[in-house]
Formats: sequence, C-alpha cells, structure tokens
Amino acid sequence: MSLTKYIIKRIVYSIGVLFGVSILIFVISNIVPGDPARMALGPRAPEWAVEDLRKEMNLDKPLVERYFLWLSDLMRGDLGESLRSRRPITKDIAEYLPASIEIIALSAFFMAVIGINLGRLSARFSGTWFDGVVRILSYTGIVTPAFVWAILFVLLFSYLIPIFPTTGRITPGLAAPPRITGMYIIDGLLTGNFRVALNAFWHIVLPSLALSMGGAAQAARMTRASMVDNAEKDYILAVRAYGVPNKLIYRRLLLKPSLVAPISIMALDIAALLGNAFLVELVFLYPGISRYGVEAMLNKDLFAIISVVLIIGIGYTIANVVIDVIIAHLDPRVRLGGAKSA
Amino acid sequence: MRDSTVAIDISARSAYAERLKRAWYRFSRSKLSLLGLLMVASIIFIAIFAPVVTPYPEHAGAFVDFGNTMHPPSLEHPFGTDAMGRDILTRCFFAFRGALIMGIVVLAIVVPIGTAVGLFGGYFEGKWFSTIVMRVTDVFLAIPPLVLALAIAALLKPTLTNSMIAVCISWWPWYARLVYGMTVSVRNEPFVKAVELTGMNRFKIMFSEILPNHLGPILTKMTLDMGWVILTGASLSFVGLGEQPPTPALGTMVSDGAKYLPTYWWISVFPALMIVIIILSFNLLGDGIREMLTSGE
Repeated sequence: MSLTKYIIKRIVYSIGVLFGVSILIFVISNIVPGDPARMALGPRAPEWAVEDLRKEMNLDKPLVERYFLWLSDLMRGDLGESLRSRRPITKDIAEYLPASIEIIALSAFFMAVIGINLGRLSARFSGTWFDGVVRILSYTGIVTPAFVWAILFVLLFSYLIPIFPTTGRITPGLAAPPRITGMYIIDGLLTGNFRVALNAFWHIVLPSLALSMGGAAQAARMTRASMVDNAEKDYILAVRAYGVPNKLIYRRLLLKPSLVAPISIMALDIAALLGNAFLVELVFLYPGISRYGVEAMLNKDLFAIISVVLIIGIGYTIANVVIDVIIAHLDPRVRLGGAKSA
Repeated sequence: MRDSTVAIDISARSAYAERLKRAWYRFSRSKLSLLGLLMVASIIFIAIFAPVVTPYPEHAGAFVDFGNTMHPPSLEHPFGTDAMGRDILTRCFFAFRGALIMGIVVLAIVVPIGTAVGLFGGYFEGKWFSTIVMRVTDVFLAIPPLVLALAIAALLKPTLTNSMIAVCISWWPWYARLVYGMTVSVRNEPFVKAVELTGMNRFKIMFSEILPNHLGPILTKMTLDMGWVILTGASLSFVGLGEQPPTPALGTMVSDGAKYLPTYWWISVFPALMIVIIILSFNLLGDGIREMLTSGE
C-alpha cells in the first residue's frame, strides 16, 4: 500500500469513528436521569418556561428523531445555543478554541522535543550519572499529575521567583491583537505586534510545560529503551566495526527507527493532555475550550457539553491520524500491512 | 496406586510452592518493588484504620474551628490546617478511603467487562459481530478517557458512586483492546486448534484455555491502573464533579487550596503530594509485578 492510499484509508475510517462518537455522546447525554431543561433553568423556574425550553431543545420528540435533527444542524455548523451564555455555541467555541490550540500545540512540541532529546542523550550516555538523573526525572514526570505540576510551577516560577505570570492569556491593559486566527501569538506576529505575541507566549509557557511533563517523561523513557535495544542490533555492530563515530551512529542511524515506539505512545499522551487541559486551564484561569467545558459541565449546559466533547473527539482523532501517518512514514512495515496499526 | 497419587499430589503442591517462592524471589530482587509493596500496604492500612491513626478523626466531617484556621505545618498539625481550621493530615488520610474504594470498585467492574469483550472480539475476529463490538470499542477510545468521564459525571449528580460510573464507562475499552490484541495473537496457536478439535465448548475455550495466558499482563495493568483510576477520581473532584464536601476528597482539597496560593500553600500542596504518593506506590508495585512475570521466562 502506498503512503497516500494508507492515509486515505485511515481518514475514511476516522470519519466513521467520528459518526460513532456523535451517536455515543448524544445517547449518553440523553439517557441520563433528569430533565435537561429543568436542570438548566433550576428548580425555581416556572413550569411554562421549562416547557418552552423543552420544545426549543426538541426534548418532546423521540430520541432517534432528535439525533438526526441535531446531526443535520451540526452539518450546517449549528451546534445549538448555550443555555448559559445564550449565544450560539459555535460562537463561543470560535472564541475559546484558539486559546487552547496554542497551549496544546506548545505542549505537544515540548513533549516531543524535550522527551525525545532527553531519551536520545540518556541512551548515548547510558549507565552514566546523566542517565540516572533522566531516569529519576522521567519516573517523577510520569507519576505526577499535570494539575500538580501546574500548582508547583505557579508556586515556584510565579510567586517564589516571579518570572512568569500566574493567570490569564495576556497582561491586563495590553490590547489583544486584531483577530485573524484568534490565536494571540500568530495574530500578533501577523500584524507586527511582537510585544503582544511575546506577552501571550509568556503566558502559555507554564501551562504548556505542566501539560507536557507526563508525555515528555514517557517519550524520554521509550526513546531511551528502544535506542538501547536497537544499538545491539547487527547492522549497528557492523557500522561500528567500520569505525563510524558514535555520535554519528546515534544521530543518523539509530534515531529514526527508535522513534516508532515513543511516537506511538504519544497518541495516549495526547489523550491525557486533552483531558488534563480541563484541570490545568482551571489552575491558570486560562480562557480556553476546556475551561469553557468545565463551566458548561458545572452548569449542566447540555448542548455546550456535547459540543465540547465532540470538538475534543475530533481533535484527538485528527491527532491520531497524524501520528499514524508519521509512524507509517518511519516504519514502512505498518503501511505495507505487515504490522497492525493500533 | 494410592501411594503414587499421593506422591503426585505432594510434588504438585511443592511445585506450586516452589513457583511462588521463585516469583517472590524475582519480585523482591528489586528494592523499588519492595518499596512499592510497602507503600501500597501502608496506604491500605491507613485507609482502613483512619479513625485510629489520625490525630483528629472528628475533622474528617463538617467540623469547624475558626480559632485554628490556616495554621502552617507544625508538630501539632504536620500538614497544617485549612480555612475551616481542620487538620489537613487527618482529612488526607480519610480521603484515602474514597480513593481506594474508587479504584477497587472501578477495576472490579471494568476488568471483567473489558476482558470478556476483548476475548469475544479476539476469538471471533473476522465475524461480523466481533467487528461491530470492536468498532464500538474504537468509538469509546476516540474520546480521551478523562474528557468522557468528566462529561458523564457532569450529567449525573456529583457523588462518589456516580463518579465511579463515569470512570467505568470510559475505562472498560482499554481492557477490551488489551485483551483483544492478545487473544488475536494466540487465537491460531496449535493449543487452541487442538482443543477446538476435541469439540470443547467455545466459551470454555475462551475462558479456560485462552484467558489464563493473559492474566499476567491484565494483573500488571490492574496494579498500574489503581493509581490512574484514583487520579481520574481526584481529577473529577478537582473540577467539582466528584464527591461533595464535607467528605474529604484529595482532588477537592487541592482545588480548594489553590485559591489560597501562594501564602497558604500547604492547603493544596500536601493533598497533591498524597495523590503523587498513591500513584507512585501503585506504579512501583506494578513495575515490580511486571518484572516478576516477565523476567523468569
């Protein structure tokens, strides 16, 4: 199978899965006990208001019909109205999602760069003190939850040594850049507001670091393990016998085949990252999609909850496809159907 | 005749004892595994005997002492006191109870369900019903588990039971996928083909011939997952969707304390540290079990 064909197959399958996800979320949100309209309006709202809202939310129709009504709205880009903000949910998402994309992209970057480099170096210097330090660090990274890192980082780098801001997206008083993508850093760079871009970047360093610690630790561990494994293989011994310098072997020959394992595990790390963002954005009072999701959850804002979960499901599915494509590129056996891609 | 059966019996038993002894040897070779076992045992001990081992058991409920609020860590209150004047060490130790119950109940529900689904899907791989079951599993796996658990918990009333339900719904697919993969890989092995030829009941083949091969990895994953399930429970209560006050929950304590950073840091740092210790303990133990099961073969 060629790489293009593999990618197409993967995308088609993912679209099928996403349809399944839409059914799953819709069914779960509709079979829970209690009346969503009543929950949204609270126990003191008059009966007629609840009745009106039930009609508006199509709660008087059967489940299957409601699903298709919701799906056809979804296809037209209408996610319904938030019961709390009384605005179209698409508008809310357009406002909050870019902020989260910035954090998630930066943490994915940290995860890959820090993790793979630490792993690579500790494989090359395996058995030395450096290897030992990385091993302890990565164990700590794995067992410490992201929100605990978040609290520790705020204490250490915002209060004790005030380098980074504690909360928010941008320093109050500084005007947000004109909206192009909604991402302050990108918009700032595009419109030449370098100060704003830098300020926004400075705000997301700590949350992104907190989110990436677990994944980076995992990646370091996997990279080290698979490089040490591969270093014993015949082809490396052969090259070594020819007198190729160690540095070159590690950088040119060992790294690429050893990346398959850490990158595959990154799919799970990204799942953890998307979940942990709900807690970390709360710690940093960061106006992202996860914090919007938490507000929706605490207020039983049904359609907003469904929409946030769906958006995250879509994002995660895309991330999975990207990871699978990278792996197929690194390891031809996957796309040739020799090994099963999970 | 009788003598020989007795002899077999004894040797079988001593062989079993011998295997246990070797397993323990492999496990105890690593100091870290022993440390993990000791830490897990202490956590369970503390949870069970919380009213006895904590200095102020009455602080575990809706206790208020405005004369003693926000005390920093001291000999009297090793972890300090919170905004209600309650001893944080006491509340942490009592919170171990909910955490352990969460982990045990969730795994007791999720492991059998996930294992059965995975066995079924793997054994009948290629048949249409297996395909449907595994596709449904894929759909569950397409949503990050914590996000799914948060959404479900949000739709239910915030209680410990409901957060366990929420975690269960998002956790079983991971076991289904693990067992599915292992089952597919042994499904065409000669030993399976051989029992199939004897005409053995298929369910019996799945559960008594195939399943025993998977018990090691399942046990390892369960031990590691104890920590992760407890963390998910703590994450739910951190957001405010878990067990409600005044019952102590580690996640709630961390998020409440976060409001008082940085001056009253101990209110959130110690409960957070307890979460880390719980995860660390089960990870060390799980790694030890993995080592024990894989190194001797």
